[in-house]
Formats: sequence, C-alpha cells, structure tokens
Amino acid sequence: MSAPDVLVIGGGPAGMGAALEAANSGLTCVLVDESPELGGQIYRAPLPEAEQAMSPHPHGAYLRQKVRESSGIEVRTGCSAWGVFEGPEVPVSSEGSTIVYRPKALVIAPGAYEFVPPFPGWTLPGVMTPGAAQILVKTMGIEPGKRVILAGTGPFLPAVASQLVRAGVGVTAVLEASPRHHWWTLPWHGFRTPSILREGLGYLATLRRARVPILYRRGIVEVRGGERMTHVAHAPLDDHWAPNLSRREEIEADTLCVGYGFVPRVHLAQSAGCELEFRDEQGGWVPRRDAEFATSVEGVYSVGDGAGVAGAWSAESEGRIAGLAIARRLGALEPGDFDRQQRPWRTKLDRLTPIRRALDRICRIRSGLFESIQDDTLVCRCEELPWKTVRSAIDFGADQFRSLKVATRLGMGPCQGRFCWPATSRMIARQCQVGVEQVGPSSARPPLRPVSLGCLASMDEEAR
Amino acid sequence: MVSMISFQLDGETVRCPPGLTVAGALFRQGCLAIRQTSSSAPRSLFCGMGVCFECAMTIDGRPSVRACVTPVKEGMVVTTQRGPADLGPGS
Ligand SMILES: Cc1cc2nc3c(=O)[nH]c(=O)nc-3n(C[C@H](O)[C@H](O)[C@H](O)COP(=O)(O)OP(=O)(O)OC[C@H]3O[C@@H](n4cnc5c(N)ncnc54)[C@H](O)[C@@H]3O)c2cc1C
Ligand code: FES
Repeated sequence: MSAPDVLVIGGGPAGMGAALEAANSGLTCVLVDESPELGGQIYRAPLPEAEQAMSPHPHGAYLRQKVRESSGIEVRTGCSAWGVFEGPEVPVSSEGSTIVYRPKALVIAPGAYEFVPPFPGWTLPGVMTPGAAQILVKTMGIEPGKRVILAGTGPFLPAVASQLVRAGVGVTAVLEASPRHHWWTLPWHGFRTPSILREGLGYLATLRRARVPILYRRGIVEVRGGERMTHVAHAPLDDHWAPNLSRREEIEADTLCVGYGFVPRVHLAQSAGCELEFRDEQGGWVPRRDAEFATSVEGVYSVGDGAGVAGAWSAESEGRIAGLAIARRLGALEPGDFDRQQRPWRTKLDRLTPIRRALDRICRIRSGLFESIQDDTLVCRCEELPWKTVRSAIDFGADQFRSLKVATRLGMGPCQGRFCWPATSRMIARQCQVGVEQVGPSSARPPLRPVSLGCLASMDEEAR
Repeated sequence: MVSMISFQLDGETVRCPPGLTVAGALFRQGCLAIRQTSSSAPRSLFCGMGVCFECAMTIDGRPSVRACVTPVKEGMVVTTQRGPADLGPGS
C-alpha cells in the first residue's frame, strides 16, 4: 500500500496538467499511465526506439519535460489502474505485480475513445478507427493501407486524412455526415480561437492540394470483402443521417477509417461509485462534477475527455484547475492563491466554449445513422451477436444494459460493452421511442483490464 | 541501415525495425488478421489504443495481450488466438 497525496490516472494533457499543479503546490503525486510514454492521445509519443515516427507535438514534449523535471511527481508508465474501490483505493498493475494506492485525492483522466456505429461488414480486417490509422503512421511510420477512405463526422477526420496524405498514404475520399453549410458557421463561433480555425483550414488546404475530395452528407452503408475489405458502399444522407439506398455508390478501398466522434472512458469513475449524468454533446454518460471538477465521491476528481469530450486545450485547463483545487483542499494553497492561479485556465476554458458548442451541434449523432444495420449485422463484436438477436431481446423487454447482458451476452466480452453499448443504447432508444438517457449507461466491474492471478496474489501480499 | 530485431509469429521468424507495437509489426508484414473469432472470422486492429481487445494475442505465454499497446521485443514469441479474449480472473 502506498499513500501519496494525489494519484493521477492518465498521462494525457488533463492528467499531466493536474499532476503539475498539485506538485507545484508541494504535494506528492503519483502519475500512472498504461502507455509506454506520457502524452495521451493527442501528444502520443513514439516508442523510444522508433525510427520512422513523425516528430512529436511540441506542446506535448514541453508538458512531458515539465512532469519529468518535477521532483514531486513519480511517473509510472506501462501501468494500468483496473478499478477504484472505497477509500479511494486503486490497484495498479504492471507486468506481474500490483501496487494498491490509497491517495488523499484521486484524479481520473483516462481520455476518450471513438464512437463507431455497427454497419454490415464493420468487423472485416481493414476497417478501423481514424485514431488507429493515425497511431500507425504517426508513431511507427506504417501505412494502414494503400487506398484509404475516412468516414464519420467531426474535425478529427480531415486532421487524420491530412496526416495520412503527408505521410504519403493514398487517401481516396473523406465522407462527412453533416452538411457543408453547417461548417460555414464555424468562423463566426471561433473568432476568439483563431489558432483552432487556422489548424482546421490547414488540414483542408492539404487535402485540396492532394485532390482528396470531402463529400458532405454522405455515410457508409456497407463494407465488403473477404480476408480483408475490398469495397466501401456509401449513400447520401438526409437531415437525420438516414441513407438514401437508391443512390448507393461503391468505391474500391482496402482501408476504412470510421469514427463519429468520441465516447468518454467513464468505467473508472463508475467503479469509484461516481454519479453519472447524460450529456449527449459531450459523448454520452459523464461523471457529475462541480465547478472544480470534483465528482460526487469525496476526494475523487475527473478531468479531460474522460469526463466529457471537449478537446486537448480544455482537458489541460480542467486538469490544472483540479490540481489547484486539490492543493487548496489539502491545505497546500491559500484560497486567494487558488483564485489567482486558476484564473488563466478558467479564461482559456471560457474562450473555447463557443467553438466547442458549435462543433457539438454540427456533429451530434442523428438517429438515421443506424438505418443501414441489417438483421445479421454484428452489434457486439466480442460476442459476435447479430442485431436480430439483440432486437428480439429488446422486444421481450430487455431494454437496459444488465437485462440485455443476461438475455444475450451483449457486453460480456473483454471490451465490457465499451464499443457495443454507446450504439446499442441509441438503437434501443430509437426502437422504444424513449430518450437515450432513459436507457442508461453500461456498468463496469473490476478488473477493468486483464489481470493475471500472479498480479492478484502479489496484491494480497501488499495488502497484508 | 536500420538495425532490425526478430520475433516469432506462429512459429515463423519475422524481422522488423525496433520501436513498433506487435500490431504495427504485423501490419508492416501485410498480415492483417490478428485473431480469429469463435466462428473463425478474421479480426484485425480496430481501435488501436487498447480499448476493444480485437487485437488479443498470446505473447510470451500470456494469453489475451493487446497487440496494439505491446511493444515488440527481440525474441518475443507471438501466437494468434481463437475465440474471444479473456480478461482473467473475475471477469
Ligand atoms: C485515438 C485518438 C486520437 C486523437 N488524436 C487527436 C489529435 O490528433 N488532435 C486532437 O486535437 N485531438 C485528438 N484526440 C482527442 C483527444 O482525446 C483530446 O484532445 C486529448 O488528448 C484529451 O486529453 P486527455 O488528457 O483527457 O486524455 P488522453 O489524451 O486520451 O489521455 C488519457 C491517458 O490515460 C491513459 N489511461 C486510460 N485508462 C487508463 C487506466 N485504466 N490506467 C492507466 N492509464 C490509463 C491512456 O493511456 C492515456 O494516455 C484524439 C482522441 C483519440 C481517442
Ligand atoms: S485494437 Fe483495440 S485493443 Fe488493440
């Protein structure tokens, strides 16, 4: 058992921000991340020996260096937190061994993952998230394929498309579900955040130069292939994103990167017993938080995309404010100093709000997205469950995560419902004509990560 | 010239540069089918960040290791798995 002042789970901008502020105020801090290096998604660093990687993001490198230089922060990479028990008590495992932490304050900053709705053929090799393709090219210099199509919604698609183009990967097209004129409103909402607008325009310019078309109001209806995908079928969408199948078109492609925004990773907060609330615009279920990002559980804070998707700058600001709030709470910072030190981060957060809201409105998931699902389309990838099985269980009244799990095994696989539930809960809402918030979140049961018997045994030793 | 490392994939020796994940090394070989489901369907890299478990492989004797977040090392023994990944005791 180890008892630092603060334990931070997640070394992305949110977690690094929290650790830096807590340590600056004189608190002892342990920062754990399951990746080999700190950085999180946006600032992901290549593996140490990588020779073909793109150069890492300068601000990410700056944060990493600050964390490494801070004597108050013990960094533990390659370590997974796999549950939060009362206390809070947090078991953290790396190969074969487990340490249980009992910090005075816990910061949960695990980030988000991508939302992918089921469609026929989505389990074929070659279909992946834009994030997966980005990691291949950015950190390893490996091509995901020769003819790549990106589809979904949001600014992440042109961002990844232009990274692929710059790495020399053949990108055939980008399919964006929402209409082009919605995007024209962004400069109006983003005038206080010109750097974000400039970044977006840069991506579009790269794609234009490479003659990669962006097709608006288009969505995937099917992927075909054998050992690897070979064709993508797409169709025009209406205002609710329902495809017009009579105008279906097919393109040859060996890779499809598909992502419709992000889902916060709330399983750790859930296992800590934090109350959740439904915020559609932030990716679904998120922990309920106060103005300083404390959750409903005493001493437990949640920050960054893992507490509501809002992007890297918001993530760091939230982390910084939570770190300062913890320092004040533990008596390491005077209230007056807290107010002064948190102000610049608060200002930054406020400045980001208009463009964030505008993007949320443009990219909000519409119900027609699920209309290309067929009876035999797999809904739960882990358990290979077709939609017809899930639908008939819903017809028999299994309309919550637990009841569907018992009736069909949905969500029983190793991903624990992370990929099937965000889509299935929306499909239930559509079928039963209720709001998604009434369907409820999935539930999480530790271990949230694979843990060997050896790990559990070593944890008992520790606890004794 | 880049120094190369080698590892075993289902009994065959594969060479690749250092600094790759196991999934990255497989992609570099053009080998996309990372795992087989219970019904023998091929599955490959999907989320790429350790969430979906589609890339579960047996690595150095440990079952259901996520190939997308595991760095490849000299002499590693990697075998493809059939059926879903297993989270271990308690799952
Ligand atoms: C695949 C992907 C790629 C992205 N790329 C970009 C991009 O290029 N540009 C952009 O603007 N935005 C990008 N985003 C959006 C991005 O998530 C945010 O902008 C930003 O990274 C959020 O910061 P964060 O600190 O909240 O979370 P993250 O940066 O995601 O960091 C969370 C960290 O927590 C760790 N973690 C999670 N669970 C555990 C656990 N149980 N135990 C230990 N460690 C854990 C993870 O390994 C990760 O390092 C991407 C998102 C994803 C999912
Ligand atoms: S590809 Fe999703 S866990 Fe590895």
